[in-house]
Amino acid sequence: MFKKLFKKKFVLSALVMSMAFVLSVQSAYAGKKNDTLTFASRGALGNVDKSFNTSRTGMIVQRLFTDGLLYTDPVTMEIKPALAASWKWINAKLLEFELRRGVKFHDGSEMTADDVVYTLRYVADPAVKTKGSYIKKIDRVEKLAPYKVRIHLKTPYPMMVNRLAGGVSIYKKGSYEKNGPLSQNLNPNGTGPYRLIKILDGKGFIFERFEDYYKESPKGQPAIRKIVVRIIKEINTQVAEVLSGGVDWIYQVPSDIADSLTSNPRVTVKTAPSMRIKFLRMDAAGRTGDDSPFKKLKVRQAVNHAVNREAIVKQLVKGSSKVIHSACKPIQFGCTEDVKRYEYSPEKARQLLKAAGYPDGFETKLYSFLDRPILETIMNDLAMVGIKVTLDYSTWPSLVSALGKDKVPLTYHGWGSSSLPDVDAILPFFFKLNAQDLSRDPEVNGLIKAGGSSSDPDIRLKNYNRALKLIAERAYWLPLFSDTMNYIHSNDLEFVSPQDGLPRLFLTKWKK
Amino acid sequence: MLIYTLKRALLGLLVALTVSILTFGLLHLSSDPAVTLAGEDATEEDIQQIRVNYGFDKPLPVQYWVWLTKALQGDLGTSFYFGVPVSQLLAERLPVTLTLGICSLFFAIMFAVPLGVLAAMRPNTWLDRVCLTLAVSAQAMPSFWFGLMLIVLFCLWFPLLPVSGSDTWQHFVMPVIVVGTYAMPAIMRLTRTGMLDVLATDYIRTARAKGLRPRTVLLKHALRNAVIPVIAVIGVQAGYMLGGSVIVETIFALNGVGLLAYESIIYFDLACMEAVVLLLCLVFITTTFAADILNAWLDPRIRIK
Repeated sequence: MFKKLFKKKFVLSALVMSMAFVLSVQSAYAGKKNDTLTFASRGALGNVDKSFNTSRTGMIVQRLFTDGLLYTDPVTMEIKPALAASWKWINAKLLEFELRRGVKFHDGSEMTADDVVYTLRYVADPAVKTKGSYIKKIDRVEKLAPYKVRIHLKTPYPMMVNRLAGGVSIYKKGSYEKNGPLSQNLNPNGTGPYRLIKILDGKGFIFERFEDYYKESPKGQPAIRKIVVRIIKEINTQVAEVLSGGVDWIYQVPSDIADSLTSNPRVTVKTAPSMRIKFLRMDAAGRTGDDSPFKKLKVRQAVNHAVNREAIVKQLVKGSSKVIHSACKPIQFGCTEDVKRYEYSPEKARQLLKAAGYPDGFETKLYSFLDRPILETIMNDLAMVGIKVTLDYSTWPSLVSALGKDKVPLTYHGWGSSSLPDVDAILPFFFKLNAQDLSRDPEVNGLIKAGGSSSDPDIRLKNYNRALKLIAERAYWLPLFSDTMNYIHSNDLEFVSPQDGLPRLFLTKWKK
Repeated sequence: MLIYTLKRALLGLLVALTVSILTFGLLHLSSDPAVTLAGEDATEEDIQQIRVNYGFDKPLPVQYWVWLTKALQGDLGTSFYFGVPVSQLLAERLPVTLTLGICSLFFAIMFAVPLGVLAAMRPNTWLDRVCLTLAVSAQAMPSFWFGLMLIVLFCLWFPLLPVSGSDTWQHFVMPVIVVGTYAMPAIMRLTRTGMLDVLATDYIRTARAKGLRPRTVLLKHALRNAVIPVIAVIGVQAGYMLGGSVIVETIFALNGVGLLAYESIIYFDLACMEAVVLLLCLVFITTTFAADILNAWLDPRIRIK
C-alpha cells in the first residue's frame, strides 16, 4: 500500500516538476524586457571582417561593430562623414581625409591616422586576397598628420567614396599581424556602436552597446543594450521564432509568407526596396559553341519578348518589386531605363525565332541556383514559344565553375551591388570580357571602363547610358525585376526600412 | 569469434576506403574548387595561383594520397568558408549530433519495442492494427512537415518549448521526437515479426506448459530471441541518427554535423564536405560493425556461417 502510494506520489511530483521546468522555458534572448534585440539570419558567417566575406549577414554584422571613414544614410542614401570629419578630392586619383578626434576603439585606445593607413594598406595589398577587387585600386595610403590621411588611387575611380562608405572598416594598427584575415574573429576590435563580445561557434554573435561611442557619429547613438544574432537557416523556423517571441526581427522573408502575416497582431510586416535585381543572361558570344542559338540577335530578342515579367512580379515576387528594362537598378547612379524595351508578346517571339532560322524552336539548358518557382515560370513562358529549356539547378560555385568551362548557354541570376547606389557596382562585373561575361562585347566593356574611370559625373553618365542602351539593343540580357525586401519584427520595435536593402540595426530602438 | 570480428573489421575498412575514394573523386570532378575559392572577382591568373597553392594542379590520385595521409594523422584540412581546421568544426558540432542521435535512438527503442511486443501479443486485433497504423503513419510522415507541425503545436499554440537552438535540454525535445519517430516503424515492425515467429516455437509452448508466468515467457524467453534481427536494424538506424539529420538540424537550428554538411554543400567547402562524408561513413561502419558483433555474440550460428 505504502509502496503504491509512494510510487504514485513520486510519479505525480516528477510530472509536476517537469511541467514546471518546461513552462519555465524562457528564450535566452528575450526582447524589450531584457533590452536585447535578437535577430535571425539565414546565412552562416565564416569571417566577421567584411573584407573577407560577401554575405548579407556579414554586411549587417560589420556595421554593428565597426565604422568606416564614410557612411551611407539608409533613407536619403547621402554619403556622410563617419570616422572622417571631412573629405575632398584633390584630383581624380587623390582623396584626402581629415579624421575625427576622440574616436575610441573598443579596447579603449584612440583611433588615429596610423590605424587608417595600416588597415587600408593591408586590404589594398595585392597579396592579400580580399573579397572585391575595388580595394586594390588603392595605390598607396599616406599619413600627412596624426589626423590626416591621403589615399592615392592607381587610376581615377570616383566610386571609391561610395565603396569607402559601403564596407571598408578601420581596425587598430597591427590587427592583422598575428592572425591575418581571421583576426577580427579572434580578437574583434572596431570603433562601431556595438562591441562584438562573443562569437557563438557557428550559432551566432552577441553584441553589447559601446558606451564610449563617439557622439558625432552619423549612425547616432545605440539605443538597445544588447543585440544577439542567431543563425537559423529555415525561414519557417524563423517565422515561428518571431511569432513566439524568441526572435525580434527577421529579414529576407518571402512575399507569400509576409503577405500571410500582414494581419497577424503579434508582429509588424514591412516591405521595402532592395538593391538586388534579377535577370537572364544569354551566351551571345557563342562560348558554348559556334552553333549556339543565342549568338543570333533575333533569338535573344525573342527571349526578351517571350517572358511575362509583369506576371512574375505581380504573382510571385510581389512587395515593392518592379519590372526593369535595363541591366541595373533604376535608383543607381548611371542607370537609365530609356533603353530599347521588349514588351511581352509570344507572337513576336515566335516570329523572331522563325526569322532566326528556328521555326520549331530549339532546346537549351538554363543554369541557376535561385528562385525555383520563378525559373519554372520562365521555362514555361519560353516553352510556349518553342524554346525547350532543361534546368541545371545547383549552387553558386557550380554555376561559376560551369561558366569557367564555357558550358552555360543561359543563366538566371541576381545581383545586389553590395547595396551600392551606382552602376559601377554591377556593370564591370558582368561585362569584363572574362568567364563571367557571356557577351564579350569590347564596345560595351570600353564604355563601362570609361564610365568607371572618370570623375566627371557627366562623362560617367554618358558612357554608362550608352553602354546600357547597347546592352538592351543587342539584347544580351533579359532584365527581369528589382527585388523586394520583406521584414517581420516585434511590435515593440522601431525599425528604419533602408532604401538599399541593407538593414542598419544600430538604428533600431524599442517603442515607448 | 575473433576471426569473425577481424573479418568484419577488415570489411569495414575496405568500405571506408572505397567511400573516401568515391567522395574525393566525385567532389573534385563536380566543380572546380579553385574557381570557387577564388571568388567572384577572380582573374584567370588568380585561379591558376590558387590551383598551385592548394595543389589542385596535381593529378587527382596524388591529391587523394596527400589528403588520405593527412587525414590518417588527424589533419582533415582547413575549412575554406569558416577558415578554421575542419577537425575543430567537427569537434564543436559532434556533441550536438551525438546528443540528438543517442536520445532519438532511446526514444525510438523505448516506444517501438513495447509496441511491437504488444502487437505480437494480440495479432490481428484492433491493438495490432493501431500499432500498424502508427508505424505506417510515422514512416510516411516527412520529417520536415512533422517538425514544423510540432513547432506550431508546442511553440505557438501551447508555448511549452523553445522553437530552435541547442542550449538546453528543452531544445532537444522536438528534434528527438521527429528523428525518433522516423526510426520507430522499422524497429517496431521487426520486433512484432520476430515475436510472432518466436511465440509460435516449441520451446515457448514448453515454457508455458511448465507453468511460467506469461510475463516471464514473454520477456525472458521470447523477447531475447526475437530481438536479434532488431539489433541489426537498430545498428543501421543508429548510423542514420548519429550521422546527423540535415533536415531536422536545419529546421530546429541545431548546430550539429547535419547542418555543417548542409552549409558545406551550399558554400562548396570541399575540405568540410570530404570530412563530413568520411565521418558519416565511419559512423555507419562502426554502428553496423557493433550490431554484427552483438548479433554474433547473441547467436553463435551467425559466427559459424
